[in-house]
Amino acid sequence: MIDPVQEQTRNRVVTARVAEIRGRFLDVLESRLVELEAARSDLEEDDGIDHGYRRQLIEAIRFGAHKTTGIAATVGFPELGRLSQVAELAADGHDPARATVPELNRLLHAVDDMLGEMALILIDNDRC
Amino acid sequence: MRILAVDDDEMILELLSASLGANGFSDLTTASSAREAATILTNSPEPFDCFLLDIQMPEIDGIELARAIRRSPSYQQSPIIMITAMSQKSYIDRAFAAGATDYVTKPFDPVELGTRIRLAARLVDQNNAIRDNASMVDGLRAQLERERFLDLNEAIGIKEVDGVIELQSLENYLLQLTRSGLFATSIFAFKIEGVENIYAASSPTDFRYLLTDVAEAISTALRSVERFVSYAGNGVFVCVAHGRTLLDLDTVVATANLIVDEMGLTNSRGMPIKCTLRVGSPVRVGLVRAGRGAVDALYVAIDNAEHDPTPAEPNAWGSSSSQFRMA
Repeated sequence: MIDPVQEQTRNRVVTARVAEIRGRFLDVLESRLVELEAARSDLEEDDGIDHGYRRQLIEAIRFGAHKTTGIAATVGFPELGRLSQVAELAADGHDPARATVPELNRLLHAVDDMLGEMALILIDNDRC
Repeated sequence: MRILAVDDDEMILELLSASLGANGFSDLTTASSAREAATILTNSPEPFDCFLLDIQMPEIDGIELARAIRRSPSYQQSPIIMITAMSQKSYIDRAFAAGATDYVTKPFDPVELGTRIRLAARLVDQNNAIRDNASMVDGLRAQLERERFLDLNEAIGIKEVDGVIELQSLENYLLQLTRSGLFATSIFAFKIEGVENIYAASSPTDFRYLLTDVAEAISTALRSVERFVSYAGNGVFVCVAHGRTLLDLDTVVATANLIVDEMGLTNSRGMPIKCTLRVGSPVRVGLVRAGRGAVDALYVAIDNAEHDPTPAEPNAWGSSSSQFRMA
């Protein structure tokens, strides 16, 4: 049998801790946005980038998106969680040696949507 | 309850700490990698009771870590809950095959996570009660051997057979599958014919050995497909199989029976045990809803194996209905 008073107290404690973690998430999001923007920008470059470096960039994007997917919704940003998952799945298995131009564009669009949402969140929370 | 949580994301570890602390589980140790977790496990003066493992971590992933934890005799019964952003079926399959008992996808609701941990705590309490009684059981083993401490209906866990997991773990596995994951899934069950007579004539130890051998035979007969097998009690083994290939259950049951025959099963006094399996009508899970509906399908399959007429009887379901495409 669940005690409703105990349950309320428990939920209040969890909500307060989640609010603390949300602040830290926004701190991390600022630096993550910068890193992912740089990786996305390099990935779009046509010249002088070998497949090995492209793979590193894609892995960096996949990893950043994965980290964001795992926590964004829990700390109050469900849309960012959704867009990050789309970007993670687009990057997962993307092979620059075989990918066609439309496939690369799909990946870049997914990353753009995620980065756009990150920027909006940071603006809304007075972080930019 | 001593809990070890492993995740490479510090904020996830903080969320876990918040959720578990609010639910009264404050004895939490955290690690940011599988290697760090291994060091903690090696050096810990007291064993842990429960594990929360992220799947996707650099170097060694959570599935490998779960497998390593299960290899330790101290942790063969401990709850292992996988926590990951990945909800794809292949990850879930591999996690359960490695010994996971439950699965939570990120983003998780901290309140809901608390509920799952309380369920795990109940399992730990049961395991502790069994362990506390173990020394007493050892002392009384000879006496207990003569008595019926194993209930025929008990869904006992069968260890160390490839693809065989406990019934509760199988339920958790089905609960987590999405509708698309269920689409190519079928559930069916095998029944040991005349199990009541075999049970009555066997010591509990002999009966356990028999169940392990039969589980081995069923799992081997199904080796061409991805599958999980659980013992559901009363001589019934329920199977969850994935794949789009044609699976002929008449052939599968014949193969399983052949393997059982070749095992030449005997009891501990050297007396042969006659054991024959029959298979119940399969349930196409793709036609039921995900979640609780998939678990209900598990029990329909068990019921089919219990109550389907045998093929030799009039009105038996024929060979055509036992051959189906799993999609």
